[in-house]
Amino acid sequence: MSLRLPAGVTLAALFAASAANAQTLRTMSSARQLHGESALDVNVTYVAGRFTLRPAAAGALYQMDMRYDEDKFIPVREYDASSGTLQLGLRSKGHVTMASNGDDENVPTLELGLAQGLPLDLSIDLGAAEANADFGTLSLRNLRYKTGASKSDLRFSRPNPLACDSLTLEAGAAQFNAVGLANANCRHVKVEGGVGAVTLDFTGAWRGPMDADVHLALGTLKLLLPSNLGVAITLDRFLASFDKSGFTRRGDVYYSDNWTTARNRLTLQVESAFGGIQIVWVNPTR
Amino acid sequence: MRSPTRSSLLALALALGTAGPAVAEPADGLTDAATKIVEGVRYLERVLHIRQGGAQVLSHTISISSREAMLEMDLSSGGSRVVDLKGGNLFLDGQLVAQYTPGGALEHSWRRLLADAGSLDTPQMVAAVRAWKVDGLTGGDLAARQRIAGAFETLTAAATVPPVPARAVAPAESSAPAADSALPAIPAPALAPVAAAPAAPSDIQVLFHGVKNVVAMFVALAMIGFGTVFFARRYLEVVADTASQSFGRSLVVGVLGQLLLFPTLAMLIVGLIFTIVGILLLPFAILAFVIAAAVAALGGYLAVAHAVGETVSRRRMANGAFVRSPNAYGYLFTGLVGLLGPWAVVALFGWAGPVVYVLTAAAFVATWLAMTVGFGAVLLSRAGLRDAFTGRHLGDQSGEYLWATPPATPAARPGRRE
Repeated sequence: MSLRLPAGVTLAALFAASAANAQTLRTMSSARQLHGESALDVNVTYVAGRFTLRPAAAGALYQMDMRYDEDKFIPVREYDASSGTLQLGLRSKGHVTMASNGDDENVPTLELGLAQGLPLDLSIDLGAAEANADFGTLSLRNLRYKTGASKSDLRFSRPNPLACDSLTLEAGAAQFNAVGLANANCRHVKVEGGVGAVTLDFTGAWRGPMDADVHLALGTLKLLLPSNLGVAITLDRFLASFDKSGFTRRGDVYYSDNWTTARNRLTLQVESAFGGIQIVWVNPTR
Repeated sequence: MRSPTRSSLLALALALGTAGPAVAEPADGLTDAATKIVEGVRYLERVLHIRQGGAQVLSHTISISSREAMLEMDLSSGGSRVVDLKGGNLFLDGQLVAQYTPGGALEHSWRRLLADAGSLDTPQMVAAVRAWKVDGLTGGDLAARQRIAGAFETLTAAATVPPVPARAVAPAESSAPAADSALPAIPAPALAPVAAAPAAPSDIQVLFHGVKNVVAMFVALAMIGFGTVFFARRYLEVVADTASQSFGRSLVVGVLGQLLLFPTLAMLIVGLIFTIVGILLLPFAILAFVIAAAVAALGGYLAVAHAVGETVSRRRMANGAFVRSPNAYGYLFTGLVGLLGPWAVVALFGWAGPVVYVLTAAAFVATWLAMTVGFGAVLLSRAGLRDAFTGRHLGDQSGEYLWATPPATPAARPGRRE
């Protein structure tokens, strides 16, 4: 079962105001210079719209550009230098009126750039948002990414220079893609999926073993695994299909055929109901 | 904040700074010394935050809407400088300081400045606002322009201080184990500790255990069945008549219903997913569907038990036998005895070796058959609401045998003897 949510259409339908409901659009640009910070705890809250994460320019702690209806939303921009805490984003003033005239221009947007080279504990909490995020240029110590009803494309395009303690990805009703998870350099990865299609691409620079707990309530889980990676999967499924080709079952665990010879290993705990688990072996150098 | 220290430093810096050029020609070394002193003073000013009006800008925020155009700068002193043009009023740090012509040259230029500066970093932003000029202003616009210029006159951008480079982890090539290094073997499945094998149960124990299970099952089904008869006798009898009068149809519909059960659930789930409200209802819908299916299967099984009991009782009465309770409760009791009979046989002959597997299979098939027919009858009769499949005639039985066994449904009433 493949659930491909037309996120753009959905967002436009959800948030485009009718002609009679004219919006008061506000654009906001904010930036801050690096000033000797040694680490940063970043909390991003974004209630609805399009969200983009990109690297900030050299010397910038953050750069944020957003567009929103000032009658419905309130920007969040708080920085506490003493505690090294940065809060950014957009929250609603209350009940958000939704209309559907298909006007894509009225969808709120947030483009966020975060400092490169600065150790980050990053928490991103999105509502009904279409997200496109590249964490590859960041130095992540911890990452928690939570999204509601949305489409999310996450990329770890370059290796994280730091050893990441934990990576937690939570998706509600969503189409969720995470590419280059090995570049995150996290020992533990946790993925919580509600309803939808989840694709986890474990390609990238492997620097050690990784444990991943994946829970998907309803939908399809697609795992893209480098062909030279040793994989052990413990399955807990209910009415969820699983293609066992390329695996040998020992006890409750499915081991990839190259488990004993692989340089790097991934241990997966997969829990899924009502859907399917698809394994795709990919070229590790792609 | 004016302190003696600051005044002294400023005086010294001013004196040296102004005297520097005058004495530069006769003695270059002295000039260098003065420059160093000035730089030192400025460093102290920066560290002690005592530089007069020379606040440093750490961050900036530009906010533009049809209502206002605002620039906010966070300063190293902890304060901020906010310039806001809103509805013809110029606010400086929240205070109304001047007025301008809405939509005039000043506002137009200010908005253009902010719009163009959206992509600039803070130092570039500071430079841009300090270099901002508007020609041809008069009156209030000119006064407002001068207040804005004054607000930024002493501001400078803070120097960028990069973070201390974090200790990077070793690259993949060095941290990964060598290809020929020994890798841990696949962990063997954990085995439970071997306990002493319990003694094999005796045949009596097997018999007792089996009979106990059957009796418990009978009691449970009888209690549920009696409750069903008490509260929903009419519907139970319609389903039972449907099962007995349309056995083949009920069987086919029951099999199809079982096959379509999960696809229907899947369609229900997918359908709900594509509606916003439906997603919220999803857990309840799944729960309701499962409960409905279970109730239909159990109710159908009880209805078949009722039908079996009724058929047996009628035949016994037709043969002249005395039936103590020719009513729905009696039918249900009799039917359950019949349907659980195969399981009782399994329990009684559990000691008999491999034959028990044949008996178990037969009991399982009989139970599945009863449940499938009952499930189909539930579907055909719409849970007892529709009596179209209950049969229009009573067959070969004449009315004289039916005086004590009134048929359940109106369709069978023509044969009833008043």
